[in-house]
Amino acid sequence: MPKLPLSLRLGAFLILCLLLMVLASALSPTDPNATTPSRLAPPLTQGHPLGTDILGRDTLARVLAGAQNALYVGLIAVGIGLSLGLFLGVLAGYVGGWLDQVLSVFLEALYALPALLLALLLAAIFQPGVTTSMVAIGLAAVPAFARVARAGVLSVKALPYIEAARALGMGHGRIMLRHVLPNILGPLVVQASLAFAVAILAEAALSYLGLGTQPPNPSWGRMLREAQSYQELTPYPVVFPGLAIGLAVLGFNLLGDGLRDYLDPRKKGQ
Amino acid sequence: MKRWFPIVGLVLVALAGWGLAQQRGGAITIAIQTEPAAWDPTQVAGADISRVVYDNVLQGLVKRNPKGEIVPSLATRWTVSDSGLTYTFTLRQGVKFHDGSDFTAQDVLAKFNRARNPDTRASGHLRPDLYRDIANITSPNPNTVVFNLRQPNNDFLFILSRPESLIGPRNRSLAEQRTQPIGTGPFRFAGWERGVAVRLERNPNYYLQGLPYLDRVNFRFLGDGDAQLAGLRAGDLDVIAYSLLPENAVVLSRDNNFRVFSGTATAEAVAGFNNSRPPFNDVRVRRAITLATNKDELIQGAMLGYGTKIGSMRSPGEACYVDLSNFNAYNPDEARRLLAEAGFTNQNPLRFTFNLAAEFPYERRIGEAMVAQLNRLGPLQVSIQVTDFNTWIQRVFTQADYAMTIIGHVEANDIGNYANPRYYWRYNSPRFQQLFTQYLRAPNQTKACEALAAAQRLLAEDAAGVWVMSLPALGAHRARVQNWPEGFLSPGISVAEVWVR
Amino acid sequence: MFAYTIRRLGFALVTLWLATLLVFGAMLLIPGNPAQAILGIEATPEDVAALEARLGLDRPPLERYLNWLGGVLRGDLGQSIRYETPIAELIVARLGITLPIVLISLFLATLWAVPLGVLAARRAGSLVDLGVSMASLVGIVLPSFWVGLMFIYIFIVWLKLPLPTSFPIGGWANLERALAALVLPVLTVALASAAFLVRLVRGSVLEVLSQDFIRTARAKGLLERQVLYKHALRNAALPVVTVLGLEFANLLIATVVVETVFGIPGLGSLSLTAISARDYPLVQGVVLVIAAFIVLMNLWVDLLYALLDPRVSYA
Repeated sequence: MPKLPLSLRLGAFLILCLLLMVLASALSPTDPNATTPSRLAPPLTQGHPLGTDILGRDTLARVLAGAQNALYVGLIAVGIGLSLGLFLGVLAGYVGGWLDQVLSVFLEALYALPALLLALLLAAIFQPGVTTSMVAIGLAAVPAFARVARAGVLSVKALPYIEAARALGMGHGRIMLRHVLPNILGPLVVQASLAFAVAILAEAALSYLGLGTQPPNPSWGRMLREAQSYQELTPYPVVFPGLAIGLAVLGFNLLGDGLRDYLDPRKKGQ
Repeated sequence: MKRWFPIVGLVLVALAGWGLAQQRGGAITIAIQTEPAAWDPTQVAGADISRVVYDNVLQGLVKRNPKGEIVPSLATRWTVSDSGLTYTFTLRQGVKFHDGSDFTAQDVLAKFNRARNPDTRASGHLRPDLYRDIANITSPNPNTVVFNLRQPNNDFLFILSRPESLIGPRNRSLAEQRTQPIGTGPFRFAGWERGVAVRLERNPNYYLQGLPYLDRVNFRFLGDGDAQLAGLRAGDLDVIAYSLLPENAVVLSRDNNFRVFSGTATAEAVAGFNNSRPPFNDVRVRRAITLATNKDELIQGAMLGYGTKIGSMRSPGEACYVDLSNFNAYNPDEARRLLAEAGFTNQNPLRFTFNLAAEFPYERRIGEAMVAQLNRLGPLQVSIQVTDFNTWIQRVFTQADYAMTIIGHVEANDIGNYANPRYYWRYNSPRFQQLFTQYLRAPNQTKACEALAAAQRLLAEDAAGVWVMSLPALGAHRARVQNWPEGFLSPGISVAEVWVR
Repeated sequence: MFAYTIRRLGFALVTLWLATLLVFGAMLLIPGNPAQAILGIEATPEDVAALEARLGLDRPPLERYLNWLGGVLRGDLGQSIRYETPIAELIVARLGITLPIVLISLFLATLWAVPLGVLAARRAGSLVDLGVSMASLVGIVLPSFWVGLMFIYIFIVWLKLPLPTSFPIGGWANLERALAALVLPVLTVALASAAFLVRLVRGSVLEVLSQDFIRTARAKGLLERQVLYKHALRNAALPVVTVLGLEFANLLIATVVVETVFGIPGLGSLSLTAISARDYPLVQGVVLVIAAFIVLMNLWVDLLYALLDPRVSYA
């Protein structure tokens, strides 16, 4: 058992913190949307450890609820990207031939539309909101997942034991499940972790632009937008959500990097 | 003896200059909140259109000055017959439009015949209902225009002072007037930098000698409060004309380089019900919502103390105002009792959605805080839906597909909207409609005010909406800007007499 | 190489065509009637019908698509509903603000990232390396628009630097103020980009330094400086140069968001205006133009890679 990389341990720790934030938000008696007469309180005020915003809402409660929102959006978006990407990537890699070529071109085209562009399109067509932003972020993640899945399938497909399985008369579905998937799981988990980081950043940006999570649900990006107009009176409602975004993104980035190092056969045993 | 004359004249001019010290020339940039879709208020509705063009570019027969008084503009004086049926206007002579053509009685006739044409698609003119009482318009001589009304209308001069009543050249195409309006005002429309600003330039042929003082005026579109503040600081902006965020007013009032100005406006923040549908067709529920709203807390909280508590659809600055601000005052126990009577309790709460338009910082903030108050009560579970203003216009304003919403009603004298059962509040009260007609047709001001007072009271008793506050009129300008108009009761931001040091 | 270029060009064209299909197809998904959604307030059925005819919505989708595509090929993206002016003109005007931000930022980012990355790689494992790596990690995980907000707080609120935070009226005609207005946005975008590039430069220099020909060069007794500049950097430059092309796309997107922080009337604000005004043709135009930039940059990267990399054969 090789030693776990430092980045993996740090990343896991940060994500554990993020999960604890969500738990704290669920258990906290403070309503993140409740207004109090204590407006623009600085941090360490009695009852408001991180202070309050212009409406007297508790910044800590809102940052915690924002963690819940970020994880929720990230989960759905990565889920969309992973499932669609996996399906298309495996299909392209396993079937090969013209289907592979067509899918590659299609995915390349999708690659030219980053999450923000897709979100602009979807927000124009439907309503700007958490659903459109999740779908946009998820769709934008599809090509990367598909690429990882396709590469994995191609490298596995040529291996002797797959041919053996096929010779034994195993169906495509079973080969896929028993032999191909377990072999590409590692890179996919790495990709999922990195995509999570991207999703959290994208959600924050979209909410900041007013195209993501809608009020009263607290979202880190939207909190930034609202607090921007009075950051001269107090910078804290801008500072804390930004730090929360940074830590969450750092966590998933480190986790992804660490997992990659851990799973990389070249680096094993180093 | 004759020799003395020019010298006396020079001395007089010098003295006048010393006393007033206005300087000609220079340019200022004024921030406004949104970028309108077009610039002709007779064709497209929007408060920011009027703010830019009213009395700066386009003028009407009469105008509302910043104090809200109706004063001469293209008409120098007017008389009203005793019957209240005939209005005779004497037109200003020698006035030219910006394209060099003469302003004549024919332009006035063409304008109001277009305005009162009920076929809006043919006329391209908004609100023909405003001009319905006009029987005919004539011009007995080139200096005079006569309006004959079908019935007396107390609001007629007010209507002529509205942005819809501004006058352009009679031969101008509607499309051109939308993007490049031509009028008789002190400034001509020089250009529209899309997404950035409009530019006005001095009208060198303006009929009032010596005016305007400024060479150029820019109106810059900046919705974000912080961007406005930063622009003012950096010198890119000279004036934030309205909707200065309360927190920014606090910051700027500490700084000698800026002057914060505030006053009464006619903008009521109305948390409106859809009166036609359950649950808000039940007056008990509407009253309960009103009683559950702590207006003082909203003014102190969301608006940092800027704003005036009101209790009906009228602002303290308007004529015939009745103070109902403590009517149905905050009383959560009574609110819960009324809701229980209507069948809503903590166990079986009333659930509904509160619509907010994203673009308006005051209303959004007040709305979010108000929803938090309502949810604190117990028997109410209110969720928020934020949409962009265009969607709001479509869903809420046009189709009345909503339960509750909040928006600022900027227009003066807009209590009459409650007399229209098709207006988005869907408030259908024959008694109110009768009172409002009484007001319009009243033979004198006292009678008119009596009817209007009764109408304000009736609305409050019916709890036809929650009139949260008269929104603050807050602005700021750099100290070098002089003679900024005091008061917010004109539809326009009139800058003819503004000058810079 | 020639065959590869042709193939790669064809691929880019197909990608662009797919992008037009996507952008156009998305508009078919608009629930209800787009003309009604655009007109909103008190629109009569006649008004709606008139706008439908003006937008060509009364035609079958295929005909509309071909008409639109034909226009796009001639550089005509149609007429904006919101502004009643040609969309291409609007976009070109906004690109005149957004593109300089992107290009200056990219230039600055490269200027900072290359020396720092080389330094970190040469002293891999040292405190300097750790410091550079940590700083770049921080730059990567923090959202650029937040960094922009912090810059406003630090430089304008706190230090009271006399920098304008909105683009001047008249745009580039007012050169001095326009440049001053871009200082903070460029700094914001460039920092985020530099953070990303530093990691890349460090990685590729390290990779090259571990290769055999470097060992040979060292063994030959060449000075460390010669090894670095003559051999290592030249080889490490390849992945960096190509990534700059990809980074252009990232910067374009980041700039769209950062523009909102600083009140800059570029492509970002144009697209937000288009969305809130339901100006569908304008949304289509903006999205298509940005997508086209990204496709062309990818093409440029691949061709450059093929041209520079002697190891890859594209015959």
